Amino acid sequence: MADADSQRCVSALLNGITQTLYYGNTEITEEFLKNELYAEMTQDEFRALHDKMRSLLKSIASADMDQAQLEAFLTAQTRKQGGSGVTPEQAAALARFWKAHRTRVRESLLAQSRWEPGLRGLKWRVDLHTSASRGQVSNSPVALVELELGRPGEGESSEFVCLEFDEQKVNLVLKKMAELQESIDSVVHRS
Amino acid sequence: ENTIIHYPVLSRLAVGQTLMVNQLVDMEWKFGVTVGTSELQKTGNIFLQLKLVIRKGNKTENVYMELTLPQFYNFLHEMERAKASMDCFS
Repeated sequence: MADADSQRCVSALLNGITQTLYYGNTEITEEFLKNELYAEMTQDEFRALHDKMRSLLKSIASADMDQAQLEAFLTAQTRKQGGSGVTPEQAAALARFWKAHRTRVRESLLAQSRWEPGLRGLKWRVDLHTSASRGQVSNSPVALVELELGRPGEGESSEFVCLEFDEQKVNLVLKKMAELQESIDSVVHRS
Repeated sequence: ENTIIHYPVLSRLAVGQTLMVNQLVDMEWKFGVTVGTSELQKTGNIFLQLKLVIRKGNKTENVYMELTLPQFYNFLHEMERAKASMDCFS
């Protein structure tokens, strides 16, 4: 009974750490976790536990450990003397947690490795200017493109960039994209 | 609604005899494979960076973005559609 409780608490702690580290949740603080899960622990005891779990999770995530690697890693951790190792319950909780979260954590880390904003969306329209209040118009079509840029984990805040392309510029962009496409094909098909 | 709505964001300038939004001057790209990061030792996923050089009035500005493959293909697809639309009128 105590073991199941203890494992549940460790799992919840790992979940909280993952929310902050990898899922961009800023609301889950150390204080919150302590109050919810380990209210009877001292501040120092909790900090030590929290930091240890965080450090282990980072090692596991950084190596993107598979089942075999994780088992070997956790076995080594349980064998450590003194306070730096993990208990069998903690090891079991870590193993179960990683199995459930591995894919999502890896995806989050890959997304975090993109440092410029991504293209969240785009809209365009093509205008044909038939007249203007001043001067002549060329009577050739113009494309207006609105790009929505934003980083993952930044929620709603997007930056909008609106650009105007004449035909020549559209062709230029398509030509560059074709070159890029060739480059992609050479890498993607090689593997 | 499918029309471009973000009017507050459109910065319109009267240049010469036409009202213009930002004009695309050039586009550069970088493509490769990320082999590892400080947070993830082995990655092996592609990175795709675009730099758009745009003219705003008298100066140029660079807009950087880093796309996933699906985002790139979506961009390409839409530009092809826009071109097809323009081809009807030229």
